[in-house]
Amino acid sequence: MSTSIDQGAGAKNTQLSRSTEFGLAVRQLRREFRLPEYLVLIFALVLSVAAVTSVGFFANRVERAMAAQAATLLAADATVASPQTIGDVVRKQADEAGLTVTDVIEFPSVILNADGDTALVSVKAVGSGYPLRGQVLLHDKLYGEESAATGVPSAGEVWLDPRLAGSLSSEVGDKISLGELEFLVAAFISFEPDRAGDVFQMAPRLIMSADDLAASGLLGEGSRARYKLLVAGSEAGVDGFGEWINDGDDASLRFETVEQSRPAVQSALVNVRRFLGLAAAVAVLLSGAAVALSARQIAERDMDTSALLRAFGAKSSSVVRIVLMRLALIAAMAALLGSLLGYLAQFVLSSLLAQWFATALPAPSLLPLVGGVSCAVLALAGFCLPAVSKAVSAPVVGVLRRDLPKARPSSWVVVGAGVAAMLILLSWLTRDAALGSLLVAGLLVVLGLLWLISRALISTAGRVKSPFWRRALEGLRRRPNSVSLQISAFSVGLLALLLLAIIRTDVLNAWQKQIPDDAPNFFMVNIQPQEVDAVESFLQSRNITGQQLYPMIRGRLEAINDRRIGEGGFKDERARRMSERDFNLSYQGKPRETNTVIAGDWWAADTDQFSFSVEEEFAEETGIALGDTLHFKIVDKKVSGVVSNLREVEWESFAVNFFVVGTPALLKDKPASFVTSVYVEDGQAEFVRDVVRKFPSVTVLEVGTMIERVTGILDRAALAVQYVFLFTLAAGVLVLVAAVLASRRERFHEAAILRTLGASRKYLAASMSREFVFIGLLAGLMASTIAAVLAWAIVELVMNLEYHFNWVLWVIGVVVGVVAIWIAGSVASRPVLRQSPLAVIRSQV
Amino acid sequence: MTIIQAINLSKQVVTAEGTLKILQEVSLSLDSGEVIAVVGPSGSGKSTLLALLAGLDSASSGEINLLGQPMHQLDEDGRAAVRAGQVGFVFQSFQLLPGLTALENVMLPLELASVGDARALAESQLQLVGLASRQQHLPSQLSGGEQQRVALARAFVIAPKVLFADEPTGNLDRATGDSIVDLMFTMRAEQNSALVLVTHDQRLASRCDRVLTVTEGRLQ
Ligand SMILES: Nc1ncnc2c1ncn2[C@@H]1O[C@H](COP(=O)(O)OP(=O)(O)O)[C@@H](O)[C@H]1O
Ligand SMILES: [Mg+2]
Repeated sequence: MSTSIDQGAGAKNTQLSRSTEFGLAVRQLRREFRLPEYLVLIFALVLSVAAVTSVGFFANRVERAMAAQAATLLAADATVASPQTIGDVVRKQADEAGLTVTDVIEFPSVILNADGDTALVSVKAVGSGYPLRGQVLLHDKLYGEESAATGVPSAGEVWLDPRLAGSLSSEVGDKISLGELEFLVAAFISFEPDRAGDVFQMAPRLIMSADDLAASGLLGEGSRARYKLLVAGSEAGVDGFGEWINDGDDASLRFETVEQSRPAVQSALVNVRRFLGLAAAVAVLLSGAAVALSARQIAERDMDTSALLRAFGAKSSSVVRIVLMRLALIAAMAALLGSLLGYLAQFVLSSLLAQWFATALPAPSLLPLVGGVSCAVLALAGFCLPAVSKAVSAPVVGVLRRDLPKARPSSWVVVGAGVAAMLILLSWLTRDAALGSLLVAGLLVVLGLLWLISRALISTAGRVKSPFWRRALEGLRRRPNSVSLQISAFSVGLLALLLLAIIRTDVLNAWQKQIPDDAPNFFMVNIQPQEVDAVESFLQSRNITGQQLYPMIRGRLEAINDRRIGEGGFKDERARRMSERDFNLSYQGKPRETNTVIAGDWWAADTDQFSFSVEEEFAEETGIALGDTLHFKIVDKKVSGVVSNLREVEWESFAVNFFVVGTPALLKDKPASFVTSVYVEDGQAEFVRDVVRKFPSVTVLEVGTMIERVTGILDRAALAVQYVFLFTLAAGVLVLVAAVLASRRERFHEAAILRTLGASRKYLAASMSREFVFIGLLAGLMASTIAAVLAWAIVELVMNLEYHFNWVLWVIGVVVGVVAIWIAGSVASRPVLRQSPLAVIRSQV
Repeated sequence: MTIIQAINLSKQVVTAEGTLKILQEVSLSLDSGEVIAVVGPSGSGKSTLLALLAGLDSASSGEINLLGQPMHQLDEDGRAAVRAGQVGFVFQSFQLLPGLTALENVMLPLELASVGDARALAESQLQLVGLASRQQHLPSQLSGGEQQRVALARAFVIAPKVLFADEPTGNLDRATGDSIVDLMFTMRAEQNSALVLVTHDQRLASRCDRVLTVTEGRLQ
């Protein structure tokens, strides 16, 4: 008798070893993960990990590309940039600080080969010593061997972007003309250190020596050149020099170090990254809903297991550990599979955005895997743990009493945990806690609204009196919450895809279409005063009439009334930058037809007053009012005048326009170049060639390619975001499958009763099909219609363009909704139909 | 040796309709190797009594000593530790873990009691119940009778001091039920386990040393 008591006491110390617990977890999982609810759980996790890591891997590649080039991003330790030649005072200061310096001058131009072909290039004239940091790599022949450049191009030689090879010069040794000079192509450029800074690739590069600039005649008044002085040296020297520049009173000089230049470079990518992150987050949120739905069923199984294990003597802490180990295994599996999928998916993302980058992206690091694993863990913790943790504490008597109600966590706990997980994840994905919270709130509002709309639709649909739909509609009426969740989850994904499709096609099209057919397709800039007559008669000889050549004068706004620029008082950063930088002024006597004066009066054509006319939006942004006195500095002289009118400009016309126009009396004697925009109907290539030949210093810019470049960039960005939203759509499908599985027991029961009453399997299949078709119809209608409404709002209200309803996309949305939901629903409910009535009734015992 | 000593056990639950007295003032004792039947109409409180005796639930008042341990003073984990390796169960609805094979189900109580060589012991136990060839089958691949045999193997594999059986034949046809009961009594005798058998089958009750009748929560 006493022995058994001792053993009883001994048994109290029984502690399951971790390996036994782990063994149990593995064994259970190995068989159970073939169950549909586990499959849904794992798919949902894999999907969210894949969405997050695909974006993560892609962003990582971009970041690595930037980090790798950070040291040489400026080809110097710092740069001083200015819209005009950098004066000797600055050079002297740099010299005193012990810094090495060199010049870089960049501007667009057009080159011409022996056959008369032309191409727009981005010229970079470099002084000796360039680059001060990093090196230029050259090909000796097209895609030949790569070697580091020694020095800069010799006089009379240029290095060319290989992109020009096809159209202009296929070999080293070819001759090309640029401005008034002829050059020898000495090499092709393979890598240019400070090129990586241009996130958006512009025209192909041409590198020449700064010594050739003067003779080329390319830098007349009004050329659009950017001057840079590169400096390198000791940190203290660079810092001191930077302070001197920033404290100096020449506001046109901008001092930039590597650290400062990076954010500017990245800001465009940061925005795209945020959108990609948002798309991934929506996928995670929907997957989370699928996880939560399947977790509920998994938890019900776990309650039985937990009660049984404890009946046989397991401690609750052991049961908790077994459950956690199993979840950890699931998380590990999902993280691994999801990351693999994400890794593959990022290749597509990178290739979609490849044309954004000047250089090939480096391979990603393994860092995004951390994100993938945390995403799986967070999703499980947020969406699965609340339900499963309830199972762990299920009453042990459950082994004797199967009728015991299944304990479920309160909805508040589930939603709270899910929201918390989403907050952490979104803040991390967007690298911005405030934005993360805003997005979570936004997402919940959107989902909530969709949910309400679908509830309303369902209750309306419930009143449909049609024998054909009767059984299907009964299914909807009986589970309104579950069906609303299915509809809203699915339509979120579909809605996002449709909206992006509309933006990519209709909105960009509308924007392009509203440009009149005979809008100018070429800009001619940098026309020197002595060339004006020749250019005018050249245009006339080509029957290009009615085009005016506008004078353009560089000036810097120094003060408005008594308020000096740079002393605050400007409404926003953009306005401040705009007025701090030099910009282009013009003068004219008579008002232009396409400009409407909206305040004040236009001056008499021959006035001798000193007045300005200011574009109204610019005036609004910079805080210039009618009657203000503007003080400009042009070259070295101060020019002041009163704002006598504000004008509205149709920028969409692509005509040459100016923010600030002065009276001829005020500006006529100032150094100017002329610009014009022309519409060339055919023979465009010859036109460009002839202009370049006849007027070497004039630069011809094609409007079409500029528009294409901008829309191309937008289109690619939208396409990339759309691509990530595919994950969202898949997650929406999973929510549907999870919801159908969750209703399986109920459906089993209904099916069994109907079949014992004599319903055929075919009848059941048909009525269930109809139910899913109906759900799909509601989801598709909702997504298509809301997408169309949003597109209308974007086009009409935001962009002020004319909206054309795209019924093709609308129909596609509805059809996709019906077909996808019908397929997913039929697959998920197959087991219900396969069961024999007897088995169904027995399974209810 | 006394296996179970219960004094004035009561169980009541609070429901929407007021307090429900499921068990009232039940006292009983069970010696080692003894077999008692608990009979009574459906809903009389038999399962509740079994749950209290096995420490699966806690009583509202009264004392229970199971295997010398004061169950009424222990928390749930403490009660579980008393059961580990010493108490077996057979249920009406078999209660095999659906994700584990027959063999793994039998190994479970051994593992929970940290007994070494669980696999070999479980294999020989399955052989004893005549399911050697079905070791790797999942519960869903076994008939009801076979599942209950696995449950018997699981109950006896630890050579329990006491076995609790709640209507073990309730879900089986008569012939299968009889063979299960025969097997259970044979194995119990070999291991000299005490047995608390809940049933409403008079034939079965008559095979026991003592019969306790529960009506409306009271022992007759
Ligand atoms: N936790 C509980 N909550 C409410 N009622 C309960 C609970 N446990 C048992 N009962 C009720 O107590 C009565 C006895 O149950 P039970 O012990 O299962 O009876 P038996 O096994 O004899 O059929 C039943 O009416 C049952 O519904
Ligand atoms: Mg009972």
